[in-house]
Amino acid sequence: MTTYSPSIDTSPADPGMYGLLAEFHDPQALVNAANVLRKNGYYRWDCYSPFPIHGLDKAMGLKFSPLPVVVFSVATLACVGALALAWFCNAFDYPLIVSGKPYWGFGPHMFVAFPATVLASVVTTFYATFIFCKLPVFRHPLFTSERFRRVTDDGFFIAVEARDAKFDLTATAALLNAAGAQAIEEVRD
Amino acid sequence: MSDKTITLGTRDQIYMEQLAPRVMMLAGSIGVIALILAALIGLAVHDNMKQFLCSYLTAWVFCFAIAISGLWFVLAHHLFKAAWSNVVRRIAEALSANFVLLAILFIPILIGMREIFPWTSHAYMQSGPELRHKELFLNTPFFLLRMGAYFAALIGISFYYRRMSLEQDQDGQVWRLVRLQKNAGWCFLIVCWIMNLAATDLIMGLQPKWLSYAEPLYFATGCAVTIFAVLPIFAMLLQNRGYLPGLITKEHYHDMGKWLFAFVMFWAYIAFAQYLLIWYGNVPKETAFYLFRQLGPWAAISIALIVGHFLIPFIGLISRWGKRRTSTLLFWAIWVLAFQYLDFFWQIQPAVYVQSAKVQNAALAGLDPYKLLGSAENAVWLPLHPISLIISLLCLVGVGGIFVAHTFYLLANKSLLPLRDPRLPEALAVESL
Repeated sequence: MTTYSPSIDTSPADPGMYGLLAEFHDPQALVNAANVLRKNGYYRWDCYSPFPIHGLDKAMGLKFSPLPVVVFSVATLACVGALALAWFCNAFDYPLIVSGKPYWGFGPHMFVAFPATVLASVVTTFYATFIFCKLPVFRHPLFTSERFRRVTDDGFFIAVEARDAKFDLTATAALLNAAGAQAIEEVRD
Repeated sequence: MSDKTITLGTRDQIYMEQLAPRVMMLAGSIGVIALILAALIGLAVHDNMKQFLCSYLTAWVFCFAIAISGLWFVLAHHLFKAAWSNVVRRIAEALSANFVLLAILFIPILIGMREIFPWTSHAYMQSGPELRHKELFLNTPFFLLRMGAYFAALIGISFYYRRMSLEQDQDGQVWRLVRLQKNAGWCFLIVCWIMNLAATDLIMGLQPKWLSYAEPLYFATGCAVTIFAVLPIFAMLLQNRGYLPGLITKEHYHDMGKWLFAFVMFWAYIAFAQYLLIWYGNVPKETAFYLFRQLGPWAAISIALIVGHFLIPFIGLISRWGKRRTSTLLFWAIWVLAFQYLDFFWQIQPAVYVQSAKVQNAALAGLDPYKLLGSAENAVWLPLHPISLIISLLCLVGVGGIFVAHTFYLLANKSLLPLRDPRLPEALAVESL
């Protein structure tokens, strides 16, 4: 988590400070506040909600995930690899006669290639998501907040990290307040 | 979000009054001229109109596929109580209300059915043990009865769904929608059943010796491909002419693109499943279909279908970007539609010639027709002769032009959106992830 470009990053004045946590009343308020933070140039912050909210990714200015490219590349490799393996085993290295059919045919070997492609896609999606989300994380400063527990039920939150270049305790709190936060609290690690 | 307000625009943007008569005139006249030209060329080649009927059947099946899958789309919309599809529901309803026209256009096929359907000959059907019991199903009176029943059911269901929907525009009664949803279940079953039986009659019936349990599903999947290609094309055409401005958004196009992608894949899945089982089984009554399609230029078309109907659009449609940009989606919709036509061409046209007179006479003489592959070869290539291809193209333009003209006739002066459907606001505000 510390491999961050120092030109944007500033080491916080208070090393124990994680950031500010703001609670919002409903999904729409969260989207509006996300718009405000993005327009004010904040970079190190995230939204937390119990369910996916339409339009939130746009309001946060999230970029496209590289996941599809990774999965597609691995899946293509797996498909070609499975066909190559089947060809090598059954048609080249040790030719097998099965019910009078030719040694090599796309048809029967697609049976191997198709599940190999699917399996490779699934496994890649799973682990790539893990890596892109920087998981596993066993402990997170936000979990120290009593209020934050409602995020899995009916709470809508924005946390702005103290590492953000624009972070300033009073100014950021005022901005979140103006953006419609119901409650704001400091989160300490 | 739900508090987004959407204005429907002016009356001119919802009701098609200007464009429809012009399209009807243009498409209709081009269609009629093309059909007459095709018939004249068909007469000139002196083959008892066989190639014309063959091309005509291909074009007719293509339009039939669009209409029946349009009805299938409307029924699925009600069956799943869907919201987003409301924006293109009127287009699908108009496409599905073409069955009266299609029934009229079926008359030339009925007149010439002796040329293309070998089972119309009693002697042929008695020529082999595997054919004899099929005559119970494949005989002229029962065929006419079946086609009559299909058209009665399809016309009834499509008119009921279209009329109720249009009447809801007038009175705004919600019970109409509820009733349509309640009836969608059994109507859906009937339409799917007709799709399967129509595939048996119109495709498998061309080659009575051939048997495949996957063919009805293959045909139905091909039908479903056409509707998700035709809907975005129609919607873009209307929007390009100033109708429904901002009402069909890229979210809706994205949804249609996803369905197109899904059915392109499903088509490949079913095509592969059918091929693989027949390849493994290697039983003559099943391999009859692929035998002729693995030789010479037909083999090239078979490969072209795998690449052009599956691999290339699969790559093209897989990304979110390709489905959300209207220009790329339009390109792929036209591409897939063209290859779906090629698929019907590939299913129908060689089959007609496998049953050439030479092969049939041999069958009557007690020989196995499939041993006469060599002698039948020349006939099998005939649909790919340049003149035959011109007839096929003219038939496609002809039947397609009349079909488009009639669709615009049905769309004209009616609201292009179900204005008083309770789910319309939800449909307009839909966001696709």
